[in-house]
Amino acid sequence: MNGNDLALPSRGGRIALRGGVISYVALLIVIPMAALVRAGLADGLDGLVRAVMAPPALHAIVLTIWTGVAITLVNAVAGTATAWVLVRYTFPGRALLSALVDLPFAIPTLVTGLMLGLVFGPTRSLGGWLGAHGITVMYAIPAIALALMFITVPFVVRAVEPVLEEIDPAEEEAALTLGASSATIFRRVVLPALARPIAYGSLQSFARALAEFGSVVVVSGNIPFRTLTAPVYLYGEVESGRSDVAAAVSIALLAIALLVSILARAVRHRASGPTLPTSGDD
Amino acid sequence: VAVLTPNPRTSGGAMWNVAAIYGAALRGGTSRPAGDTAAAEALLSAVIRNVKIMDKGGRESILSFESGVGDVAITYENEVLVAKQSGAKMDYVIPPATLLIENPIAVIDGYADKHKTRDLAEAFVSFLHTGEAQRSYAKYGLRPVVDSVAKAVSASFPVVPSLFTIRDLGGWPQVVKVLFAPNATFDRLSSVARAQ
Repeated sequence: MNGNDLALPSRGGRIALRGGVISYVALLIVIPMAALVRAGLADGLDGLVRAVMAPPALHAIVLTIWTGVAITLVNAVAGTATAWVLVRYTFPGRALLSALVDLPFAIPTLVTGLMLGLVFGPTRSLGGWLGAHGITVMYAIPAIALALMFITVPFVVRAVEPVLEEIDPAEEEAALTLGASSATIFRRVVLPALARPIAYGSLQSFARALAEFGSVVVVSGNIPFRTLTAPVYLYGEVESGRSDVAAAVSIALLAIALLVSILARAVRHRASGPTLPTSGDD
Repeated sequence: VAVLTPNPRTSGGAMWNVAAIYGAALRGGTSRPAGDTAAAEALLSAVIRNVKIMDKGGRESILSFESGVGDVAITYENEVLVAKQSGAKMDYVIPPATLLIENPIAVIDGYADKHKTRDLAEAFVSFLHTGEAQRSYAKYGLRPVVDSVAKAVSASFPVVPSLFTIRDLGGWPQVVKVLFAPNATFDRLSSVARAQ
């Protein structure tokens, strides 16, 4: 425990740092969350279950979860491919592409919604063309998915990239000399090393998707039982003065997010352990 | 017909819209018999089924409409008049039976006395009832409540054959209970509408 004597000069300093960090996290995260849980349980567990099982709430939660799962699957594939291209190829504009990947973190989500509207709105050229071919994007599920995909682009890419950089090309070359096809190399050599970062990034993007409000409220249409997602439903409950109901439904979302976050952590921790390619060390 | 009306959970304007549709039917202002709750619900249900976007608020709803979404937007008369003034091209229909929104104004006794601003506050309230203020209201699409001004601008504000107020529907507490409470009429009809 106190084998590491480099970090801090004194035992007192270590305790102060540890205490400081714990209170910082408690103050920022635990206390507001505890307050929310308390508000959500004001009517007991019964009240919470009733709030979550209310038909419009339940529909909104289910919609949020399944769209989140769907875009996460897309991210897992597209994000891995993007990381692959960024790490394995040099081409003009690579730095720009890499910078673009991070951009969704810096754009206010409302702006994301506006941008989608400018592209897919029924009076815009692409939106109009799609509409003429019977494809509705705006104010429907596809718009929700696009908004979520946009804001979650960085997660898988940034989780996979560093691990991919660490993989020694010699392993792939060895597989090649043993006669493996490139598909087999990817499946048997590269993918096992990437499985955990992909899972980690995917879980992160799912957790983020659960919480998305700003862009979705602009593009989804917000119709109960059709396109109303859980965060937008919550907003409605708060606005109608039913913050107790909102708190109860938030607890459900929070519980899922916490679970996913714990899962993601577990996955990542093992990722940095023995499954990482260790060539070069030995 | 694709309809735009905001979400009543987030928008007071949307609550007026829903109450106006329901109330108009209930009061016999549509082709349905007066007092027939089922018929009023059927009308409201038919409208809800056609709603394409429930924006956060009335303003957003009209912006969506101006951007070319939907065939019809339900909104306040003054929103349309102001939009037309600023060059928006839209037709509008005032239903033969609809809600009159009476915007209240009040001096808050406790606050005004505490800050010794009662004189000023009361002067402001009376000013709003002068011809000058009322003409300003009319200019921005709001129906004047002072008769002389109302008469002068009557050309901009067509007479509505059956105008009713929220009191005629039992007052807001009653309307909220019947229409907007959790699992009340609005929730129920939205739930039915999904099964289209």
